[in-house]
Amino acid sequence: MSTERILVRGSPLQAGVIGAYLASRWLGPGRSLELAVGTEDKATGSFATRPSVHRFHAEMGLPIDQLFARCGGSPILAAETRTADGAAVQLPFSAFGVPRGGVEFHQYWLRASRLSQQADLTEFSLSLALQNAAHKPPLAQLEQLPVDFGIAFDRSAYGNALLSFAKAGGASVIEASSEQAQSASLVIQCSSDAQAPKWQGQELNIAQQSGISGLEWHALSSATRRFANLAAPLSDCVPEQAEWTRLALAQRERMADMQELLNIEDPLASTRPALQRKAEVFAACGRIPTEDYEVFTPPEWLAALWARGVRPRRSDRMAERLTDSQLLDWLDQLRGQIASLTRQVQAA
Amino acid sequence: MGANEGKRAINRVVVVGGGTAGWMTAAGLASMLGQTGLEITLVESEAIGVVGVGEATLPHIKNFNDTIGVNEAEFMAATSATFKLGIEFVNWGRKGDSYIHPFGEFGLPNAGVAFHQYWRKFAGRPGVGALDEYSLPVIASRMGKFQPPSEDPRSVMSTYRYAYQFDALQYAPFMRTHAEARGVTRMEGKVVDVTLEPESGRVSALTMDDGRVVEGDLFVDCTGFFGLLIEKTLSAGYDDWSEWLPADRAVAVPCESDGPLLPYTRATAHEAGWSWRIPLQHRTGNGHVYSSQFLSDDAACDTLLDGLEGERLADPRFLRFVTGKRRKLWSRNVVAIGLSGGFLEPLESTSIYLIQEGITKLLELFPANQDCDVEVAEYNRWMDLQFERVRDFLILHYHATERDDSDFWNHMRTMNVPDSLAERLELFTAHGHVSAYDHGLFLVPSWVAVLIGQRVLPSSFDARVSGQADAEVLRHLAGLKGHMEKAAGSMEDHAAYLTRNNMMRAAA
Repeated sequence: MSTERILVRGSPLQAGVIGAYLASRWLGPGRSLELAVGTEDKATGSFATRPSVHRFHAEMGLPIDQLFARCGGSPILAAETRTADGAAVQLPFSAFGVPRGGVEFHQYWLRASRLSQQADLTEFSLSLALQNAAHKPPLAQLEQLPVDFGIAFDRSAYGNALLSFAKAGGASVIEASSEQAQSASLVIQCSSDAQAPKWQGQELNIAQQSGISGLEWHALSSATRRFANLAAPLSDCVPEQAEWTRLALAQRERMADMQELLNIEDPLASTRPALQRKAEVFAACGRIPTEDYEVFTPPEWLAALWARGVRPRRSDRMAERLTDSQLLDWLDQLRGQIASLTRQVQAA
Repeated sequence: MGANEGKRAINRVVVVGGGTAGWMTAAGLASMLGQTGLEITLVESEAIGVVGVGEATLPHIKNFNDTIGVNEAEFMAATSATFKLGIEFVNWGRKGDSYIHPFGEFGLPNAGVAFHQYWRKFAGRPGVGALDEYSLPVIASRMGKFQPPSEDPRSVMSTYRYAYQFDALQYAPFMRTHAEARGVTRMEGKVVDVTLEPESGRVSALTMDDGRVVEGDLFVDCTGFFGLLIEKTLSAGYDDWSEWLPADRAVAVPCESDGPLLPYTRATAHEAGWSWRIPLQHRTGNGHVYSSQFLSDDAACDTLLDGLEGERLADPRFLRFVTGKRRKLWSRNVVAIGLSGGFLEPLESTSIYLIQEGITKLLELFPANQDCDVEVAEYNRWMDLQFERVRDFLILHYHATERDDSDFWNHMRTMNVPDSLAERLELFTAHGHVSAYDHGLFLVPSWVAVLIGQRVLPSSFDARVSGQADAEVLRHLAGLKGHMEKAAGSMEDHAAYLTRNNMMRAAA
């Protein structure tokens, strides 16, 4: 039986993320994994992930709390980005307020803001309150709170930790310029240009993403995870290649929608159908339609649409089931609870 | 002045038709929007019979009932309902075959690999058995047992959901009581005329046979196949899908119950279609769906009557339909819900699900005024997607077969299927991977159930399965099967559960 050999080409961090996952979820008898680690990665500093980092590492059997301590971890409760004109935007991973009776919180807020002056919608986000607090709560405490969070690691330490994990799992690191690094049953490489993600023949290209914190990690981890979940003999996997590419392209479209929303002058005039639909439906009634294979959560879309000045013309009629006083009291209580919880977390 | 001021507000909804779809819609709107001042009127005529669609349901109906505040025990007793853990398909892959599409998982995933992949590697080995022997709802169904699932995700008892089988002719009155208690006004009579606004072409009023005029801002067409408003008035058009789903007729007849009360529906394939068997508390619902291109009405009726398991309780009733959906389920100020919106044969009990989805989406997008083109477009997009994904899943049942015993099956087995389904089949037959989507009714276990149940075995399996020692996997399979059998055995007898929980309908 011939050995299947996967060669991963990339920076230490790219090779680390891909290699660590494949070492634990793909490597086995009759398979080898080699990591051709380049030195071209000039980026330093922090490397942001998204909430799916917990599942990714749990599947690998690499406890997140260990990495957190070793790699200078810090929780992230919202993705950070900037619009074309330089304005900072935070996209919280978890909901604003709490839904009630099947209706999202912002619908109640919209109604309340027509009754009386209300605090900004962002003040009803526990995620944003914690993200912007002077001190981030410890991991153990965050896990008890009703919020999703990713982790920012020191880029270099995280890459090295994952490379070590990959090596311990059976992967080998080779010189990028070596003869060994020229071919394999499958070559996985990360491209930093706008090249489309594609798995065809003996090459699998992961298109890198940037501009929004956490997307670089998401592109790497989701592409690797998807590849592992479509495991098949590398010499006989045409349908799996097509499926991987289809899903990767769909996710790239969702990322491109968000990028355009943050940069286009008038989101309602977008020529991207899914984005235009999101903007139009949100402007009409405050709902945000979703597509298959979304990358961003509904609260992230809400925050981005809000930041770009798209405002619903009305609130959901189901939000009118509360009386005016019930509604205003509830909002007051909720805002107070978020402020109180944030203070408690800070004091702990 | 606000953006919505000056445009006619929507405060009066008129539901036309009072069958399952009509009363579910009225109950849903009244429960969720009645407190907001929305006036809901339902017009129906006792002189017009109802089709009584959808005696068998999917687990989603429990969410609907819970959301609008229906008490489960009262509902069960009022509609002579039974519980349902899945659907048994007989004679589909080959004559003599039987499998159950369960409302739940197969086995448990291991190291990120779906259970069916492990099963595939060892399928055919002594003692391994069929895939559905690793499904708790299937085992319980075969034993005639029922118990609500556990809320503890660590328990094997949490690996399934349940639905209901009920008497549709009792369900509509039950929903009517619920709706009227929440302020819905019922008007008896036939609609003899529909008035349109001259400029917009929107429906403005209905004229009843006694001369009364019912005005409204938004109209919900629940008039069944007739489509009084959506088609006869607004000519929304129809997408005909009989190219892939050629069954166009059904004949239905109830019979006396015979034998234990089974917690599942049965769908048995015949020469040119299939028959349903739905066990209720007081009777069994039966019907035969067939293609008139391949089978005569008389032959279809004979097949149905020959297969009855108890004394016939009524004369056979024939229905004609064209499989497909309206091009626009929401047109101007008319929303079509139920059979007026489209028809997909009840092979997977999707009729009431599609009604429920229509109501839910209408509630989510409920417009403030007549300026609602965006909401209408989004509603139609969403419902089109739902219908199309159900359609593909239904086509699979007919296409994934080895049957060659009739012209009908030869046609179905060899026809071209939609690209979306062809690609899905190609992926699965390679190494057992299932293409998943986020928005659609049927999830991965459902596709696996039907594909494997109808002998579409992947040529190989997920490569990661080979990473585990055979003996270890076989031990795991045996242990899991035993565990599930024990869990199912500990459940209560289905009929005994209904009785103990006061869910049996009192004798008339």
